[in-house]
Amino acid sequence: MGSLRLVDISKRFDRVEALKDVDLEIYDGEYAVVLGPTGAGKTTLLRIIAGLLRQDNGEVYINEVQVDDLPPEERGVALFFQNFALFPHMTVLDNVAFSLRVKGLSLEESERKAMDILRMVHLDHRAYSYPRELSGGMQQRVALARTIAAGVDILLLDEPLSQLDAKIKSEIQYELRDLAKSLGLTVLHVTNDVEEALAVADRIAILNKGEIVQVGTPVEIMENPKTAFVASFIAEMNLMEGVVEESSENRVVVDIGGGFKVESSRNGFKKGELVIVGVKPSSFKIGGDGKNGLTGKVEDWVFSFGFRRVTVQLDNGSRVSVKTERKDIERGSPISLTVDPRDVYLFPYLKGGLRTVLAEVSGVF
Amino acid sequence: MVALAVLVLLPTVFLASFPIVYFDEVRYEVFENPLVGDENLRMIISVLLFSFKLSISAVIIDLVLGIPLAFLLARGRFPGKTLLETLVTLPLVIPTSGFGFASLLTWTTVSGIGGWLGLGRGILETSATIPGTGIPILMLIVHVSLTLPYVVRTLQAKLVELNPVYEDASRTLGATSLTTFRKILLPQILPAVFSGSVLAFARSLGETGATMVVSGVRITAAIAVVRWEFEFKLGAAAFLGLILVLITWLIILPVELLLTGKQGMIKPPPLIYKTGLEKVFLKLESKLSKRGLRNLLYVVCIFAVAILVVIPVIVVGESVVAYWYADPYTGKREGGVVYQLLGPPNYLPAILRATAISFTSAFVSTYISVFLSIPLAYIIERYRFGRVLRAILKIPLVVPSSALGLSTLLMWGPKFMGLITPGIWLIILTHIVFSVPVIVETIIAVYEGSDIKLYEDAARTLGANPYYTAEKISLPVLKEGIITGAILSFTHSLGETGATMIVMGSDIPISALVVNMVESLAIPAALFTSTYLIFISMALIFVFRLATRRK
Repeated sequence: MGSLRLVDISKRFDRVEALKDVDLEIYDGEYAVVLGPTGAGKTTLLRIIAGLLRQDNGEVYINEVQVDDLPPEERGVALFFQNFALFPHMTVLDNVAFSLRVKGLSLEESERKAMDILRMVHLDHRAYSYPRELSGGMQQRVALARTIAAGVDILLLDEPLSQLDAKIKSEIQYELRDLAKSLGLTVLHVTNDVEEALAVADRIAILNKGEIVQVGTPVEIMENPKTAFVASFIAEMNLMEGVVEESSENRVVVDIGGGFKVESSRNGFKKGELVIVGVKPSSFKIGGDGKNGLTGKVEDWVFSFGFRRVTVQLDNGSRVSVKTERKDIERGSPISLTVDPRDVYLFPYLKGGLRTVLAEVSGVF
Repeated sequence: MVALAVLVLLPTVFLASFPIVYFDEVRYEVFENPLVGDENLRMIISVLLFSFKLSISAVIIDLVLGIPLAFLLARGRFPGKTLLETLVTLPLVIPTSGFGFASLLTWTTVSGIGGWLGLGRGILETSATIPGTGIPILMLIVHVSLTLPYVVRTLQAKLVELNPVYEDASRTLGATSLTTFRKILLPQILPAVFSGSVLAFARSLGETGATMVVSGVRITAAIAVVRWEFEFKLGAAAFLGLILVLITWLIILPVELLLTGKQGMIKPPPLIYKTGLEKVFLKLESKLSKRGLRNLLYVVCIFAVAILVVIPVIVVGESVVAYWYADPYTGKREGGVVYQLLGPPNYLPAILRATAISFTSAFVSTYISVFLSIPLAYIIERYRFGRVLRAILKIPLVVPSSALGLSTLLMWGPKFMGLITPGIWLIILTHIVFSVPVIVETIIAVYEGSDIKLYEDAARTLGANPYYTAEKISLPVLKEGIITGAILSFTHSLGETGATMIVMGSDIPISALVVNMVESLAIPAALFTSTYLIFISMALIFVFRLATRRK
């Protein structure tokens, strides 16, 4: 059994509000990911759950038991640290056996069990090495083995893959999920890497500036982002500011400046309201006719995994990114784009406008 | 290099030559005195044993108080942390004789804690000892206050350097806070525990100023060197001094060589498991790891600092006020500060002259030391033999200062070179010996903490010549270290007693004056001078804090 429930968690550091009323429930056996840009409060959240940090407000329930007054060692969660935190003065085996030994297991028994777990991560042959003698990938596996050896049902993983290079990372992320699933563990994994989150998560909670802005399966979030921030951060949508010009049952026309008008089949916005328009790079069609047409100039393009990502400077001055498989793209040439009204997303306008959203996505405040 | 060798290195080792050159004199005095036989030898052995007992007990108490304090200062976040840090390190900068006198008042007289409690007498007798050990309580208290900063600072520096993530990891893996301390922290800080203890031990072994003030009838080895020098028993003094130096070397060198070179980690033997003690430890640790108990421990340690350091300073300040016009208990004018300073005892001119001597020698020795230290720090950082040089330079810091003073006296004085007779110039030469290491260490700390090498290389590739680089890049970067070192050296010089008393001749500086006053029982004058000395030092520290905070 391993369920986790956070109620109204808040935490301030001097002037910075690290977490604001965070509510989150993670079910037994679930692989949940908290996704957010650098500085969103992800590590703070994990440290509060683990008991290394005391929240200012709110409660933490583990298996429906309130644990706020329990020290870390009595909470029954194990935290995997971003830099692994392998004890430098102990061998790999001693590191993995640590949690067994502090529980009072004998030397031989703890060693036997630790060996079993090391075998699981294919590192039994390095049991007597010191952490500093191992590669980053190996250290990551030792740290994982050590966390698993704690024998708890809930693992908290703090950016477990961030220290690995891209290629190993994509391999290990699936191994990590499979291992957790096969052991029946509940996992709360935090990361700032969207692809990683989409790849491993049963559910994703998106954290921005200390607040959970959306929770859902990867598909739900990709298809239906609730805010401009999520749209930009997860779906990498192009965002533009505009004013609602017409609004009816399932048709909204937004003026995005420079004479461009974009039609969306989403509604809920009143005439004259400021909105943020979002379009995925893959939703633009190059060429095409009339409806929702935009014109501009190709500013630059780059290859990206089998397609081209084209930066277009629109004639109203804003810049959009377009994904295409067409090869006849030349820098400086004029280009016209169309987009299906069903692919045009609308988001409430935020104080500070588009710039704030973009700054938040890149983690700059 | 020559200046370094002559001014700093030679005096530290010169003592060794005396018993060799004047072997007969040593043999005559120590081993085969026609009048008292080997009485002096037995004296030497007995003061040495006594000193050891005292210093070891002081170090043990230092560790008990110092480890929690260092942990609190390194890891805790609480209001008043800077204040606590300042208080713990205060005894490093207060002149020891003044501090010793303040402690004496606090513990053994009605002006101190005893008076506050309404006992009508001090709560301790000067001669009171810990039952069964023969260790004088007052002396132990003073030695603990004076050596605690070494343990706390060494450990604190090490703890700050250690990433707390290992402790967090251990906790989330199920270890209680005490188990975490034993299994994760202790193996990593053990070298610092050793080097801190060694520093504290050496400091305690060599302490003179405060010890002379509170000693009563018992004398330590360091004091014996001073006494015997005054009694012209040079042979015995030199022999004892040499033994002290050798002992300090024997303790320091292995620690320097074995512990600091390696990565600073010690693997505990599996002995604890073999004996089944591990389970007992775990159970005990989980019982004691309550937050309340830990906070209680912190409170006790902070309270100890208050009693050891803060109260003596308050007491001495308060007593000066009380004794200003007359002895508050007898009402006699003769017992007042004013009478002693301006009346027939006429201590004021002596105090003024002593102040002038103290400041002149502190200033000149610091000034010269700064000039010697900057190139030295560079040599140590740039060349391979630098590490050895650095280890050698630590010797003057830990060798008992009276032995060091004797060594300088023997080298420059009438017995050997005959160049300089005791007096202010010899004080300056002696102070340079321990000022240089202090300043070099602080410069090195800044040097290693900055990317100065990179900046210098950048300046050179941008077309600056070495002199221009040194002036515009290196010195400004190192400024903070130089200033810190100079201030430490200045306050150290002001407060130094052991070596100073040996080399001062008739130029009595203020720290030695306090000792003289206490010995001639001019208590109100000593009171005034101690306060004066303590507050000057505290004012200097305040200026120092202001100067370094600006950054």
